[in-house]
Amino acid sequence: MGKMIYQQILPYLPVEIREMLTNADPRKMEELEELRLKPLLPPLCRFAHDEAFLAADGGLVDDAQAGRIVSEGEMRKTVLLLADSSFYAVEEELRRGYITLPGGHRAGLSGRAVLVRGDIKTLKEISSINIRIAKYITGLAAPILPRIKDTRDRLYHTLIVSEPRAGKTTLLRDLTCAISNGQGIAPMRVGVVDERSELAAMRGGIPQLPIGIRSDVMDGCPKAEGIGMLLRAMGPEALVCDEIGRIEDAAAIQEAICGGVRMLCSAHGGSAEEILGRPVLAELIRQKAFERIILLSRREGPGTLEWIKDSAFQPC
Amino acid sequence: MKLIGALCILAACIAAGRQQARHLQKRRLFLRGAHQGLLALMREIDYAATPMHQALPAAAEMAGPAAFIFSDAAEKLASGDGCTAGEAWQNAIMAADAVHEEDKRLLALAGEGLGISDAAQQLKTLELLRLRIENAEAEAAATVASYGKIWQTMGWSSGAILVLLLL
Repeated sequence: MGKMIYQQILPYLPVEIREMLTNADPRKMEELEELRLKPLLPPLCRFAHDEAFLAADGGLVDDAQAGRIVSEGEMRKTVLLLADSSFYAVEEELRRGYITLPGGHRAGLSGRAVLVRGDIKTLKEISSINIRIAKYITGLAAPILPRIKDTRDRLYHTLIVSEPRAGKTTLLRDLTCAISNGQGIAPMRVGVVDERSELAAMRGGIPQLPIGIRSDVMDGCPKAEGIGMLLRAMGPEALVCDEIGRIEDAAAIQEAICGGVRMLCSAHGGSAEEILGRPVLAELIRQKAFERIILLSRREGPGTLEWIKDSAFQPC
Repeated sequence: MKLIGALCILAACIAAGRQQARHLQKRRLFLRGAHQGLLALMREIDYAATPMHQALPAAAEMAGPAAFIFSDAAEKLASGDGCTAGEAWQNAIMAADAVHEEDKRLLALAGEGLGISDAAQQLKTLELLRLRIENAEAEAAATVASYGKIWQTMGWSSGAILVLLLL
């Protein structure tokens, strides 16, 4: 965990857990991707290639029995600290199941859902906290951008596909930043529909991750509604959406494309077959809504580029 | 010389009486400030869902003589040393030596649930405390009205008696 990440995350943890993390091997902690806390179990650190439990002295151990147990009180306090001691101010975030921290890091929560007329109102009795470390990696867009624009410097409608944790959101964010700033392509006004707050990681109206100077973010908004709102209000030249897949998303994307807006989207999928196995994506591809499809994997680490193909799945 | 001494005794007794009356008045003003601060805190939670680290300084601005409780709690909360709003509030109250013990106990009630529930529950808890502070303020005002004058009268009258006895 870098110094900056320490400063951003440690204030949200009880002193006892902070001390364990501070005493842990700093070189190993540089690789930290997730910190998972559960009551009456030791903290679990997930790294790029392995995982380990935290011991009381900050050591990393494989055996859970040797780890330092997180008490129920520490668990409650962590939740309170993550909510800035103001549960009433993060009701929407609790309803969605995560709280965005400064720096774009994210604390996922699970517990007992409180339902009101069938809708989740909030979470209580939090039983798991998963703090995911946001790592902004730059330079991913540079080699890909020339392959997703035409000779007139116009961005192709592009779909980025990968399995979870293979880097599609990171690539999408870097491409958004490059397009918005005009790096490697003519600058464009970009509308970002960030339904899951993963792209810009907005906190208090300020993006915690760089998404470019010409980007307008619709945060926490369903994609279909967000696309319509941005089209009406902000006049975007390109629209960015993460993890499309619902029928209403497809209709909104078609609408935007017909309006002359360039689309840059991502979706879950591990191969051409899996993409075509998803009815909404298959229909969009059949209609040639996307001119370029990028497949990423974790084969050589997150963000490995497998291929870039056109809408007929021909290499390009 | 005797006259100067007598005047000094009289002045000291009058000052002591006034000091006691002022002490009662100060408590009333503190409770009024705490009441106003609490109302401001409730408004911040109700209308803007302002997080505690911003709501407490905003409440301090409205809290007059009780502002230091709100601002000390806000400062402690913002220090980033793993303190929750409830703990910060309790610390601020414990450190307030000048506050009447009874008022400390009353205000400490807010700390128990500060920030740990949704807006409706927060408002319910704070409203209950606000009513209790309002009652305490009314009692303090009645005390000022009755005992304030008594202390002042006792000040100059005891001074006068002492002077007469010494002369």
